[in-house]
Amino acid sequence: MRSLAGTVVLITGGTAGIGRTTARLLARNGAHVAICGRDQERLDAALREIPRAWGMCCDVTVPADRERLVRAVAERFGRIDALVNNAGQGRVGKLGDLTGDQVSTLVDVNFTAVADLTRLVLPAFGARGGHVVMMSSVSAWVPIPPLSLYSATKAGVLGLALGLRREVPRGVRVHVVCPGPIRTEWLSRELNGRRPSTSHRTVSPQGPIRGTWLVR
Amino acid sequence: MKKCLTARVSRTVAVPRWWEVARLGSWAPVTRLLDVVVAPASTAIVRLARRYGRSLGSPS
Repeated sequence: MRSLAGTVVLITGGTAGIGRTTARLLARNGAHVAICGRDQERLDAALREIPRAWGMCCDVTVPADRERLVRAVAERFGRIDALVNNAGQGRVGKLGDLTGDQVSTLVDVNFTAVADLTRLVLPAFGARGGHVVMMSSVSAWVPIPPLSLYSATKAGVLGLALGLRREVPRGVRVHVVCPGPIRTEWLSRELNGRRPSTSHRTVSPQGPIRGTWLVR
Repeated sequence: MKKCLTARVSRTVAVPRWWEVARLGSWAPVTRLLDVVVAPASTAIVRLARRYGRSLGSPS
């Protein structure tokens, strides 16, 4: 297996859950990790935990923020070798019970931001090529009622990745990761209005990713 | 994730690997079966999800 040492990886939503765990893992393997998140406090906490990482406060639903983020990472490291489109959220409930704002925010975070960030990063790969990782979900294959809209956005991400593989230059790889049931922060917050307590199984800094029956 | 970033070809993976079985959900006969089975139970499934959420919020 080739090494990750020296690889510049941008991870969106790297301040919590799967993104933070991924950032820690990649940094441990010698990658130069850039993370972003909306909450400055949590970003600071993540950077304290992963001293090798670099971070920037950024809302991926804001087009100007996305451009600023890609420009800042390219300036800081001189290049970008990989993008992990991890930032995402979900809404638990039937589509008819959601508000218009909730629908558009969910699509903005889970799909529009992913497509636009990928568009912005592709030129930064240059002739070297690079990797784009799309974080989808098993619910893209099996949509289930409380997460129908979420599943649709993840199916969109999956479709985007499959299409991109057929149009990007040689040397660019587009991967899709479909996690099964994982108790990430948005899910716990969405279900009960609180962040997951430390006594429950979560995407733990030390331990493996454990499952619950709800999808990521 | 590490395997993806060091791969020579594009990959689509489920995590954990045994969730690959969910790909069957895109197969038409399975989709039709799920339509028949899940649709009448959708409200109950949402209610169960909420109840599960409350259990997440309570101390263990």
